[in-house]
Amino acid sequence: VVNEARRFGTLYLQVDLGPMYARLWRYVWTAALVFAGALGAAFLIGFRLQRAISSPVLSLAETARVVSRDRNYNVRASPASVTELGALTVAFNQMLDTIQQQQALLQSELAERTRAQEAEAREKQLLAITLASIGDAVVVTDPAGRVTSLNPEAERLTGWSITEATGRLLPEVFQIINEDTRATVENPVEKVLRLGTVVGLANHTLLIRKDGSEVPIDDSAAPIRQPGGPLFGVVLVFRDSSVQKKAELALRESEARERARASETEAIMEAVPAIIWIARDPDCRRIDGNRASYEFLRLSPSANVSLSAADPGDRPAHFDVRIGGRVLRPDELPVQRAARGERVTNLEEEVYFHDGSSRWLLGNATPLRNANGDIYGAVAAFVDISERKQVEGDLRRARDELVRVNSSLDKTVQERTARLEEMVAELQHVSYAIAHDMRAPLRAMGTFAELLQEEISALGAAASAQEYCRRMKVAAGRLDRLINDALNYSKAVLQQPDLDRVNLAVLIRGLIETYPNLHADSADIAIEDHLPPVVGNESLLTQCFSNLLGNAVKFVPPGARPNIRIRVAQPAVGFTRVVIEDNGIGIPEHAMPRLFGMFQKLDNRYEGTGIGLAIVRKVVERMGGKVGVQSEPGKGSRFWVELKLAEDS
Amino acid sequence: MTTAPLLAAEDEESDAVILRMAYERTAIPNPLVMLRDGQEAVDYLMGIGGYSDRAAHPLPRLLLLDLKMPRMSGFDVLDWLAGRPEFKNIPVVILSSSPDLSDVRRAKQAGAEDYFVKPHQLRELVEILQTVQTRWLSDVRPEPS
Repeated sequence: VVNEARRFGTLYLQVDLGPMYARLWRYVWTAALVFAGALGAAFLIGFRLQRAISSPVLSLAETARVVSRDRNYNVRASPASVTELGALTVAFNQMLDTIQQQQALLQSELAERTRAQEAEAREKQLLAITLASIGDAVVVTDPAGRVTSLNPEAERLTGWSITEATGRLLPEVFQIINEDTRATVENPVEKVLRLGTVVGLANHTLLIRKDGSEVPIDDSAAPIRQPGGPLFGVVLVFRDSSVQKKAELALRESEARERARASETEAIMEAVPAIIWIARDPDCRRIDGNRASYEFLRLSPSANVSLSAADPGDRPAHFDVRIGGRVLRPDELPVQRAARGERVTNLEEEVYFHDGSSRWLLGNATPLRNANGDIYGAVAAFVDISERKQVEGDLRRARDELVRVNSSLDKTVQERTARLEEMVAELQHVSYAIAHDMRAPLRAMGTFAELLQEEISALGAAASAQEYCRRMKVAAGRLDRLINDALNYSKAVLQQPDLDRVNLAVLIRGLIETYPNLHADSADIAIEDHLPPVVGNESLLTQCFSNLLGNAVKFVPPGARPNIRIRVAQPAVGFTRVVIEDNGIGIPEHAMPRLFGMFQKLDNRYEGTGIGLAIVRKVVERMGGKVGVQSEPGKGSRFWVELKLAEDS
Repeated sequence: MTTAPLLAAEDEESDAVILRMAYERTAIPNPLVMLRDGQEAVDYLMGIGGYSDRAAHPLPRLLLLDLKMPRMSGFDVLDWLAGRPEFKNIPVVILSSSPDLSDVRRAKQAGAEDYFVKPHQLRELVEILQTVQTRWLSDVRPEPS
């Protein structure tokens, strides 16, 4: 409670609310039931109304929506029962039918146009590619003669790019003059425009390029127009004739060379003395030859010489080819072998003619290959070696004969040598027998003559009888010495001496001591130099020096005492010279040449056989030495002997 | 008692005669037995055939051989003796007509003590026999020269 905005206090009122709420709930229930009934009635009435009026309108609206959305002119609105709406729907559907027909027409027209456009595009592309790839230069102008296009080759030849050239008048881009006169040539496009026909260009036309250089060209120009229609432009086609010209020239030259070569080859084939065959098919069905080959085979020129000709009737039948006496099969022949790819070299073959004559060939065969390396035939060249073969045969026979003669000669020589050796042996044997058997009786004769002399002397026989005995003795002694010397000489000649190292000093001293005639009581012999060892035979050296020393003491003037000096000189490397110098009677000039010969006696007043110096010469020669003499009558002699020095001396 | 003889083999009859004549001119005390070839000399030494009686055919003091003889030569006898040591005390002297150095050397090598070439004079042969006597028949043997 508030008085004049002043709060006095608070007043509380209390009431029971239950019956109030119950009455309130009743009122609410009643209102809800009334509302629900009214709503159901309204729905029923509305549903009936909607079915009658709004459904056909909605159908029409839906159909129109589908048509506009999907462009589907096939849909139709459902017919309506309400008269006004039904009329509207029918009209709508009729409209749709018309639209559908119209559209189908439009679509077919569109498809046709698209196809035509694609074909045109393809054609244009093809043309562009053709123009670009064409070897010839192509320039197109419009009817006014202004350049509209040019292909790459035209760009290259004129030196103008397409962008530079487009729109320019043709003579600017395509300036041409006569090659010879250098006068400007009428531009072909102008000519076409003037004449309206295709025009060609005169020969020897030069194109002046943009940079001023010149190219020889061939060209032609043609109008572009539809049949019977107006001129659209001109197409100009030209090409670089310099390349063509060169190619033509090269071709002509190569053809000429080929012809020259062919004729050279032919001339060579005819000129060479060789036999040449050529096959131009791998099977060698036909083989041609040069003149020499036809003459060789005894065939007329141009005959087929192939032994492997397809038709056996074409094959030559008057000869065959052999190696080592065996007839070759056609596939074994050199040309045929070469035609299979083999290189046949140094083949020797016999061409045997059926008349019995035979010729020999030596040659090679080589495959012929084309540019791809495939064999298309073969060529063979042979020389006739029949003469050589003949000579070879003769030589062989001569050699065989020589071998035969030689071997028989060898045999003869061997036989004769054997016989000779036998004879020598026999002779030696005979000599030995003579030495013994002949000398024994001589000895007996001498000795008995001596005995007889003694006895008749004691008996007081006549002096003449004693003289006879003495002569017998002397004669026997001389004969004995003769036999002895002859025997020694034959030994020196016949025997092959064994050569050894011989101590010459010992040998000569031994001689002086052994031989009574060389003793100090009968001769003065002085060895004045050192005697070196030599290569020789002791027996032969003994004979040599005993003879020389024997002569030296023997051939002295009557009553004179022999005085001999032995000296040594060195005549040449490897040799020694023993000089025996005496005080003898000397040797006259005229006797010198025959001094060392057999049976050369100079002075009959001296006992001797005349063989001694021959033996000396012979034995010294047998030992590889030399002998000589310097002498003057009355002034003594200097005999010398050259002997090989022993290696260790 | 018989003295050991000089056994000489000599096929040449005149040489044999001359040898005996020369022998007789020397003062050699040993008797000289002459045989005709080497074979006989071998038979004598072996006491074969007619020489089986050693009393009649005593072993010789010296052999004097010619070289060239029929049947067995002087060389053959020398070779035969080489294999007979029981005869090594009997000296062999060669008396040959060959003056060949090769014969001399061969004979010496085969065992001959001395070698003489047959001389042309009796006097020389006597001298040879005297040399042989001095060298080989003296009681005191000098060394061979």
